[in-house]
Amino acid sequence: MVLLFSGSIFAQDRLRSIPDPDPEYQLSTLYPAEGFEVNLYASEPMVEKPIQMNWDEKGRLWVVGSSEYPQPKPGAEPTGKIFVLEDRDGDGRADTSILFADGLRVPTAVLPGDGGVYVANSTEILHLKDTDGDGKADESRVVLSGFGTGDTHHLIHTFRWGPGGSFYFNQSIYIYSHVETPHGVRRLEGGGVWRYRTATQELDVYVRGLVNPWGLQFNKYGQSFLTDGAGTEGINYGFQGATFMTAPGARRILQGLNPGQPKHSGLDIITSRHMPQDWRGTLVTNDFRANRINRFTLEKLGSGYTSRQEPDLLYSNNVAFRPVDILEGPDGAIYVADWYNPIIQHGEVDFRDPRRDQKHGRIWRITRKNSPLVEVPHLPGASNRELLDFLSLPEAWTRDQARRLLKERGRVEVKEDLDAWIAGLSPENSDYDRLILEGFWVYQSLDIANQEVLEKLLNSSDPFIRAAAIRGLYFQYNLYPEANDYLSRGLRDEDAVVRLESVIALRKSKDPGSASLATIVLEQEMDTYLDFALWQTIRELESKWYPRFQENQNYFQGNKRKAFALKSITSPAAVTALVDMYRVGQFPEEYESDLFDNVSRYGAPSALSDLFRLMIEDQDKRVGLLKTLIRTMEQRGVKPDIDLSPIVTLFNDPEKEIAQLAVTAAGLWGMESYRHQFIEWARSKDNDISETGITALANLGDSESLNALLEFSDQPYSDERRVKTIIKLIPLDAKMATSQATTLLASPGDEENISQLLSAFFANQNGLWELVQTLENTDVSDQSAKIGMKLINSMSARRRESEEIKSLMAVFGKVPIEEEKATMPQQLSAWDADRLELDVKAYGDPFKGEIFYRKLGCAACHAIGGAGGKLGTDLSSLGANAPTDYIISSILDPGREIKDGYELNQIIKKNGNVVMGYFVRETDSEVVLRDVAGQEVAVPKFQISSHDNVPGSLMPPGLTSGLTREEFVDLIGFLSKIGEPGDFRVPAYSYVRYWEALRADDSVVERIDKDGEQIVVEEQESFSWVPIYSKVSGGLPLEEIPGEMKALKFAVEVAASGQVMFAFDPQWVEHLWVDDERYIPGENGLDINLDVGIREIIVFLKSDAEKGDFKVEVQEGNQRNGRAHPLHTPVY
Amino acid sequence: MLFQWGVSLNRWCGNRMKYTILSVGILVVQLMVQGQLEAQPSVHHVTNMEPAGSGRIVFVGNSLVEEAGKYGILEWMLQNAWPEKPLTFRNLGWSGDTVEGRARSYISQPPNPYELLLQQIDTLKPDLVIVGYGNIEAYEGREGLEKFDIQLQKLIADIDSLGAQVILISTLPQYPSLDLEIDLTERNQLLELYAHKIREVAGRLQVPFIDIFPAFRANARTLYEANGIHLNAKGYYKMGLTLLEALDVPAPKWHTEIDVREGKIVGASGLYIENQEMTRSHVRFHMTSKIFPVFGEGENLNPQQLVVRGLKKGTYALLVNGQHILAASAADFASGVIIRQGPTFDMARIVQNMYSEIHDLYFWEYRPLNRTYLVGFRKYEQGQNSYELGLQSLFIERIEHKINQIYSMEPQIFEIVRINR
Repeated sequence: MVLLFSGSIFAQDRLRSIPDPDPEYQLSTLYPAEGFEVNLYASEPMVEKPIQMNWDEKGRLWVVGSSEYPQPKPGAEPTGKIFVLEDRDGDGRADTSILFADGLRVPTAVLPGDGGVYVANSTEILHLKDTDGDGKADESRVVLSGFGTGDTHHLIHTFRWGPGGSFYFNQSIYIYSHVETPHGVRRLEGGGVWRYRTATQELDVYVRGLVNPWGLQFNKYGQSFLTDGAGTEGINYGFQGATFMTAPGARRILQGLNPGQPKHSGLDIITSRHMPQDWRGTLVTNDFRANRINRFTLEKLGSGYTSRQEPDLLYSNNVAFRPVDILEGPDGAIYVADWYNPIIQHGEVDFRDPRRDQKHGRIWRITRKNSPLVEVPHLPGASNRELLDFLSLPEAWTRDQARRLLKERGRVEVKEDLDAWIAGLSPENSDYDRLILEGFWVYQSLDIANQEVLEKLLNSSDPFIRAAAIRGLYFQYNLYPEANDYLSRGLRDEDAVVRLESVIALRKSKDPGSASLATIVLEQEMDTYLDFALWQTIRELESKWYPRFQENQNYFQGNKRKAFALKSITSPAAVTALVDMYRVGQFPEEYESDLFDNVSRYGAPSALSDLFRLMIEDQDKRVGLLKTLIRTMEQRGVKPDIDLSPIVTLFNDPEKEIAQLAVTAAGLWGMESYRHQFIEWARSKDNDISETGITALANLGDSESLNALLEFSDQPYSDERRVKTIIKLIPLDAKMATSQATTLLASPGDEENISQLLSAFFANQNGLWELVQTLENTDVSDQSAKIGMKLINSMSARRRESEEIKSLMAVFGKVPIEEEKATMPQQLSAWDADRLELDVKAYGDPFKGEIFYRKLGCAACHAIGGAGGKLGTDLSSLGANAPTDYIISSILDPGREIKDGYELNQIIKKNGNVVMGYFVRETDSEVVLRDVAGQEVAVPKFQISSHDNVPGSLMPPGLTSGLTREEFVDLIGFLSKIGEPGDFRVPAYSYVRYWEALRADDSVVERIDKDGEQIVVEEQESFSWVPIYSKVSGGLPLEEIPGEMKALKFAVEVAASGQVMFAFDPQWVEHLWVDDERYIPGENGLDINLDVGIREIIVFLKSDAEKGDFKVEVQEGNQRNGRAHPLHTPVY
Repeated sequence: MLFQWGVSLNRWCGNRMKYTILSVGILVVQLMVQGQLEAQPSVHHVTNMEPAGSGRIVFVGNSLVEEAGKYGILEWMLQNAWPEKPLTFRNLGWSGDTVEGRARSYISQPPNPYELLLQQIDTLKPDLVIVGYGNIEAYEGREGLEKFDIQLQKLIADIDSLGAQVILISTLPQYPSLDLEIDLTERNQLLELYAHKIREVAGRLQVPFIDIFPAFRANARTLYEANGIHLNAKGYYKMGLTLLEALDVPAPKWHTEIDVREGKIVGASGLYIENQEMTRSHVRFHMTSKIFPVFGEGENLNPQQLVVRGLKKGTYALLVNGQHILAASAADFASGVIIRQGPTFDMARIVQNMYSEIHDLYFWEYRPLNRTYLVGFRKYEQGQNSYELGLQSLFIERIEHKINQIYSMEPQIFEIVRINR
């Protein structure tokens, strides 16, 4: 009771910064782009917490929402609602709002169609109808059920009609759905897009993956794009089978088009004549975290796109403005559903926190000044012919509604008119092909094949139209008996986008020759999407082509095609076939790393034997093959099944690397007869050689080898070697390792050594247990105790609560330790926390805070604007998104506040080793985690004893204990501002954000004086480069770079060759090198022609550039035809 | 085989008989079992079934089981089969589920799907678990049979170790949907094969098995939803009848015949008539009955027919507890009138709705929204609110208490009054 009381006071106290919910006030906080204005279309009580909206053919806006979101109260009657808004007098404000349905369970999507509306009702899709015309639903039918419920903001959502009449909808990462349909059970575990045909009740998964894909839209060619409310890759280009991050079990994924971009909800494509001409075809989407609306321009590149962020359509400094859905309206204006809530999180803020807004909600309307609105065509009651004519209009609303109405009228009523309309179109019309495509989609909606129309499209001069025709073939494959002939042509099309669709459509083919046909695309230029799609097609068709291939080794005509196919599948026999090709020199070199990868994952012993022989014979291939054989043994415990003794000839190879690899392999293969040689190695003075020997002995792992290892874990060997040996011993014999460790731990030694040793014990269950048993009865040096405590203090609170760690704390705690007192208290009482939060608001200086952020090295793990470590969450819109109390508590107690996608996993291997990390992916054979160093670690499943999700975070507590309270307040001041408009919002410009600065000490300056500056370019590796990130604003503070001479390296990735500009602000660049060429910049920067690929740039700054922020912007677009973006991570 | 769910040797009829004999006993009419369905002998016919323990029945399975919860029909029919024993029901069905708990998958483990299935059963401390699997597994074809066999055995053993009895239900045929061109020949062969497999496993482990497959094999269009995979209310009523038949419970048929000339009232088994007063133009009696209407889509699926022969010419009203139910001519009464309303109808409608309300409330407890944050691997974020899920059960228990109150109905007074000559 007391707790409850103090808690509520605490919460009330924080309500002071909640904005005024008055819509007029809110309007004053919305800032549309120049030339645009915004007005209120509707607000509560005409709508309630809008989550999704869709238009109907009458121009009415259907809006769904729920005051119960995110968590209904127990036993409460559901209160989710659907409102129908209508602007009857055309003044841009809704004047009627009809409550169409009530009592829905946290509904998250609504879509008019088939005489009613489809509604996402948590675990099911309902079709609601008003049969008596009173404006209220009186009939309800369950269309599909069995969708997951595990997370309210991930429930099925984003209902959309596709151009061919299919019903698309999305779900997100924590939703695991198992839907029974007449065609079988359909499962989607995790994020993705579903596709449903209402007439045939067919349900399939269209796209897999993404964290929280709230946003799906089709362009005028029927291509689809997605946004992600929790991912960081901006616009995602989706197509049948496209697979993105987080898709469970995915071997391979595609990237989004804007890595490092904010997270988005909702998506629409501008089509209306009301909008500026050059905005048409651009994408608008909501960065709901940072209270703004982004716009992106797409540009075709190969079979896909590049995407560029444009200036915002609208931003707000009102934290409660939460644009979650966005649609172009019938009048050409842009409508934005504003969920209106200062709090958006599910996990981080208590479900019952009073700051969660449960009642407000707005629909805003953005118009262009001095531009006429679109005259809204009258669709209801229009004849078929009229509806078909509407398909020539540019606005998507008109075309989508007209197509849907035609579909609903049905085949019998529409076909004749459609045939006549198509026949009547004039080929002279500049829009002829596109109109034919619109007609084709109507046929598709009605499940009618029309070969003539299809062929017209396939002969279009516009590659997007040809691609759309092929996509239609995919969806209606069975209706076109000659499909494969068309696809065979499409695969040879001059345009990659057509080839992409053709490769995908072949998955429908039952012809055993299809896989071979698909590989024809390899004869022209490939790109990421094509490579992915072909790989997927080959895999999906495996059961059809593989038996054929076994009969006829020439099934794939040509080595490249054959190698691609074989490397795409996972059977050991395919690996054997690849190895056969490799042996006889028929294997394409470009696929070599894929071959090695497949061998280590799936290769049979016989294939490994072949590679072993080749390794012995062929000196050039030796290193790669040895590494592959070693990896295979490590990952799967599989080795060649022939006499391996020839390996011994390599022990004395003049190349040290080969000799080391050979010894390592022999150890892994358990070749005990060489034990004496390994012992000799272990005794070597050369530390590398010695370590190889010790590792080999440990890999042998038999009792004699263990005894041998005892030698190296004791004097007279150096502490370093002893520690390395003991670390190897822990998983083999924890007891023995512990007894060897006691003397080291009892005496003072090198801090790094002790730290490594203790960490190794902590990372192994058995080791930890033994250590606890032993240390309770033996002495520990003060230094060891201190290091031990330090390691324990950096563990998560939950780990520290384990019995073993508690015992160790008791042991280490016996030693009097001079505690470093935290200057910033790391545990706060409720009152302290509240006080702190107020101080942040009152005094937090974000400019100073950013400096502390940089000093503490936060960027090593966290990215802002895509630049920074990948281990932690991207903080680009943290401040706009998260309440201050949440930010404070997630720094002081990182394990308490976890973001989607940062689920800590613990794997305990059979040998007791523990791997902790964030989950990346899981396949049949391995689990991949991202470890504390930010590296992906693949753990073979056969080595796993247990794999659990564990509470907690990899972020160690206590990071800020060295700050003063004032500094901490500034730091939080900074973090709570990131993403808000102003200096702490990542700008849309393409700034360089990751740099490497030359460490220019005296010797370096001397060397440059002597050899000239080009030595830095030519012998980059011989210099020391320090990674450094830009500030949020994009500027690099030069004062953080030591030394008088300033040289900076960065890299850009050029996606399309051509002209780009490096703009310098200020122009501090003396000269610069692009790859190996030297350039003198002009007044604003350097205009330069770049070729596709990664280009490295080194800039030398003028000597007077010492202090202040330096920015480099990579400019493209307009008259510049090159396409490039800066890389935010190291090139290598 | 003899299957006892509990220890009592007396069936409800026996108890009831004692009660009626000891009661005032002016005229006690005990009837022979009527209209017992002609059933093909089921291998493991269950006899002498008697609810015991706390009376908690749990359903587990795929959508066949899950969808049943919407209607409250199975619960209502089972409760009426053992009216003396207050039963409670929980539905753990899950669309797409298998004996391995396939549909109970989630992004994080533990628990793995099967562990979750067992945890969910265990939490409910059931006395009896009715298990309906196989429809999803049948997609695996013949090759999947062995795996199904092994895993079904494991599930039975695991439920047994939780101290609950198991009844297995067969697969359900898929019905060809009106508008769809799907060839279901093979699908239904496989479903039947899996039904046989369940029977076989049941036989091996001496577990009761109820074969619903034959009841839906033919002429079943009206029993399915449009998709041909889910049953509608009539379908679940049919399933309920099949269950009761296999459990050796008389078909719940409400039928009463009165011959006023001979002063005789003849009712179906389960109808108890006493305090009768009778002339050729007026009839009055007390009726106690646990044969209730069963509603599906607003319609009573278990019609109540009343035949009164020998009334004088004229129009008569039927009153129940003084409430006007219907009016009909003496001739109509002689050929039988169908009763469509009355206190038992109101009660049945309310109770069935309550069962489906319980199902809905429990759905959000065992498949909660925000599972991730309340009880899943991010529970340290919202775990403080997970107690709210338990509150669902308070609401459920309150409803169950209400059901019990409503269910103990007083005898009804039937009266046939001449209103017109």
